[in-house]
Amino acid sequence: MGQYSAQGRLLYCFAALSTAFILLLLLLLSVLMLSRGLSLFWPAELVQFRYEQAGQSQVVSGEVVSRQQLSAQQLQAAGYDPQSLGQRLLVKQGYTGTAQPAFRWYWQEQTSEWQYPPDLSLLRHQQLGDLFGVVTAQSDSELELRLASGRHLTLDKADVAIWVQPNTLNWLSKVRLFLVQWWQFLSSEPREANSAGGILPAIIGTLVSVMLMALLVAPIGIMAGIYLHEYAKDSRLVRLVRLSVHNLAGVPSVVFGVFGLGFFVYVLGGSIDQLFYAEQLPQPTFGTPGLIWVSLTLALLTLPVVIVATEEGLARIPVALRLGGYALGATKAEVLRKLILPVARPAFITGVVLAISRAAGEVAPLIFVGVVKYAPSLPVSLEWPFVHADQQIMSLGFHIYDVGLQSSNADAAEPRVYAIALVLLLLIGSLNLLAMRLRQYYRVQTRDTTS
Amino acid sequence: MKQQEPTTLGISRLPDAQQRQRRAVKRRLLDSLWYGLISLAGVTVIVALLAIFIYLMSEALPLFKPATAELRPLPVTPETSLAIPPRAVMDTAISAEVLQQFALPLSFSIDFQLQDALKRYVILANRSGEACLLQLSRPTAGCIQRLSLTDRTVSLTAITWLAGQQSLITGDNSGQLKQWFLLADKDGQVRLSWVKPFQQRNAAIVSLAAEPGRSGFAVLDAAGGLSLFYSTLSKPLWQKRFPDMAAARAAPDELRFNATNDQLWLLKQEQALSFLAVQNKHPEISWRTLWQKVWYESWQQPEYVWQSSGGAEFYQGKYSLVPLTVGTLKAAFYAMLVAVPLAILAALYSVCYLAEPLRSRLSNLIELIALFPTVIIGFLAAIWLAPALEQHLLALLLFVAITPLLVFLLAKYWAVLPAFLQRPTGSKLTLLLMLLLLLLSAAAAFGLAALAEYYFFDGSLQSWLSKQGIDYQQRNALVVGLAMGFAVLPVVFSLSYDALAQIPKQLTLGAYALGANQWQIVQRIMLPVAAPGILAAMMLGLSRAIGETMIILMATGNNPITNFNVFEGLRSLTATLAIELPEAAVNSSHYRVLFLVAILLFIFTFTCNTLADLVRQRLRRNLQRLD
Repeated sequence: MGQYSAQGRLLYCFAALSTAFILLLLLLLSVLMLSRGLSLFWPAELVQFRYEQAGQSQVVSGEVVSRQQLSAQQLQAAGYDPQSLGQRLLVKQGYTGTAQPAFRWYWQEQTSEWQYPPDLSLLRHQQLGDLFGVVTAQSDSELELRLASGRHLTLDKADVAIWVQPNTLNWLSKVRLFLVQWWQFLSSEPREANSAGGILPAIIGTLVSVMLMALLVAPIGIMAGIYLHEYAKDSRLVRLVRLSVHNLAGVPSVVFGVFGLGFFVYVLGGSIDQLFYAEQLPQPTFGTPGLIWVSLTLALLTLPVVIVATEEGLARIPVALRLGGYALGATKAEVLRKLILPVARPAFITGVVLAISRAAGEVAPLIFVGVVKYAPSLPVSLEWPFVHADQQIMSLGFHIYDVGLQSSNADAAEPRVYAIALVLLLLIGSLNLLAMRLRQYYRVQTRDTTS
Repeated sequence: MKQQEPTTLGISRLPDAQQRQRRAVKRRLLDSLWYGLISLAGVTVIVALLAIFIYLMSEALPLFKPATAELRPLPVTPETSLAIPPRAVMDTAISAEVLQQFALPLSFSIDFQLQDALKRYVILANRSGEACLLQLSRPTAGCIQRLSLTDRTVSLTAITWLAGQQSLITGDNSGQLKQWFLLADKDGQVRLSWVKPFQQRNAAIVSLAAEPGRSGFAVLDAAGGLSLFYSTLSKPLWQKRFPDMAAARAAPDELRFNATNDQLWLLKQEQALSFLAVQNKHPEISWRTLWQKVWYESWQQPEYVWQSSGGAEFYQGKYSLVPLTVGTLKAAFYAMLVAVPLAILAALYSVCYLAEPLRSRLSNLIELIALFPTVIIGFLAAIWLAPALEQHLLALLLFVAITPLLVFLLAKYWAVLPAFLQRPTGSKLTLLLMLLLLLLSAAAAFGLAALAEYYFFDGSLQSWLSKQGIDYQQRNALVVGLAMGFAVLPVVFSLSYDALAQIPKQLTLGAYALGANQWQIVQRIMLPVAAPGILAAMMLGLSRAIGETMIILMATGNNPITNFNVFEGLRSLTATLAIELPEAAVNSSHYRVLFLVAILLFIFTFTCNTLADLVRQRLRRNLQRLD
């Protein structure tokens, strides 16, 4: 008995430990995402310091982005003296001249005269990006800015989107600036190879492709679900088919992408081009990756999700409802149309919403069928046919991959990815919340019908 | 519905019945229309979904289609598409003046001479099989290597470069075919070395012809046998004997391929006799080259290599699926190592020890992890976790070691804890206690790691590891294991949770009534009964891990290496698809091999999921019988 209970306690402790560990990881992940994602647009304090290197002295002003402590080993490997150096700072100094990096590393030990000048301003310029400096003179249309290096710049006021002095801001105006920056991020186009500007095309691309997918998958998936649950006989073959349809949901999404590229783009798109757009060949119209193929691939990918949800919804309907309908002499179609479908509708919508949320986070299959780094125009416009199904699009998920890992300007791009990821998470989270609410509503409703 | 007014009998009933009948027909029609429509949609969808597999197969199967060739007569009127292909450029000989500068051994008659692609070496050979390798930049050195290309008893009858001019094929009058590579030895000295024999022909080799652009060749022997070979396979891809061709007076003495490798011309003294229409699209792919070690040109020994493209003009695509499969399994293995214990223990905790509101709240919370798109997890793994791990590797290892130790201690001195912490098992307080323990252990690990690195590992674990011969790459299998383990965790958790929660209450209650304690119940009842369900959960987790793309793509170096070292990167099947498919030329061997990879993934995950599903259904049936 004593031994057993000791083992029991050990098991209890380990089980609790695992649970606590998972919760800790979840917490850590959420805190990381939120803090990094939100801090990007929170106006940071601007600093100015003197930097001395190799006998030369210069004044640097900007925003300290991160600090890094290098080990003696790393310093030695990089050819530095480990005794005199240690911590280094990544400073965002903005535009300082053509072909100068916006981000630079400085050794902490070689800095001096740290100041937080209140008149140091942050200017966001349409062409030059962020600028840090002191405004020395201004007229109605122009600004004169003195950079830390002592250089003077004359800027057109129309080009300056934001002009603030972060060191003098109170928190209310900081909040306002924060919201303004978020809004600009969400509503403008990317600039400088996706390392600056906004993410509007990615958001629109994701939304349009996913909506088109929902339009494709909803009727087909729901009909297939109704067929499997209501009309198909319960034979061995049907059971096999049902099993395989359900398990298609577990096939890696990248395989659907391969199918999409091979079949949709090359076979289907190629035939469409030959039939209808022969005059434009060899320039392909549909025989190349594009929005329609993205949506079709996503539809195929999420079809099992919708079918399973539909079947589950139908299985939940009490038999009494059905039998009552038949007892009144209704045909099968009438029972379905008038009794079952209205009650099961929330279940169908839940399935479609879940499909949308899965599709919104999908990246791997879309690389093949029409999602690109940068699309010059939006897939929706005011010109006929409004939605341009043959155009390539951007998507949030792929944007994360591209900006996060393939950017040539990693220091500028990396913090932005946290913000993009936050937007994507918010989108997926709210869709799932919607699905959950719908499911609850549906459960209440079926309970009402039963009682 | 309109109310029928009762009128006089007979007259009013007739239209009423008619109307009713019409309505009934209409209703029946509608009913069958619905049936037809929905069945059509359903069947179409099912057929379409199953057709995915068939389509993928149809793209990959041509890889394994055996080569065919058909003898065609020459057209009476000459056609431009059927001209005799010109002699290959690589056969050009060097001038006699150049050869005279070399101090050649006496009595060496030059019957064959071949020059390498960069025009640095010349191989001279005579009919008796003796060969001499010359370096053009050192005329005084004479032969830098002398060797015999045949067994001395037989004589050399044919010799040719394969495309790319890095390997030689020789044929002799006993029908033997051998392959030779020009390889640099340990001292950097280039030598002609024997690589492998091909399957022997029945008669003396008359002529050899290399395919332009790829490493295949055709062989003509004295008995009229024609065969097609590929340098990675020792068996012929196709062979056929034409006895009357050998018997005829005008027996061909030379073979030549056209530029697209679909015509093989038979020539006699530069006069075309006939040609073969060859169907041989993918000679470089076979089960052997996909799964076994292959000795590629300019490699020192046979290896598993995945290298789909190269800068060189004549490039052998190297398609071994072994490194990719190993990479996939390696990533999945480490991910499962992280996910399975955590998920199963957490499921056990919430089912066995937690009361209702807390229980479902906890499971909902853990299932939230599934909402994180894998691209976000992959990004965090690559940008945040990988550098952090590089700096604090020792701390992580210590954390993994210290935490169980602390838990052992805690369990041993459980009785010492204050009563409010001991008593209600499964309260929030235990979780908080464990959280505290984790933080404590993390702090201890960081502190100890700093000390240990200073005292035992000369300041850095990485440099110590590299001194031990272990390579540490920043994006390695450990990072992938942690990140993908985290992504797979909710799958394993929720299915194990379902399996455990399905166990009927009366089973455990009965055991309690018989005097069993918690440990006995978990060990003897819960785990054995739910074991198939937990196994199914693990299988589904494995199939998720094997099919995962973005995390592996982002958090590994995507380097196709074949080992299980946890500190090195890997390349998986899925990541290879994501990287290479957009660039592969349609219908090339590369494209089709990638489809084959997709099929492998499809079959594996589909089987895994189906098996898991069957196991779960069976478990559910068995448990329902218990109820």
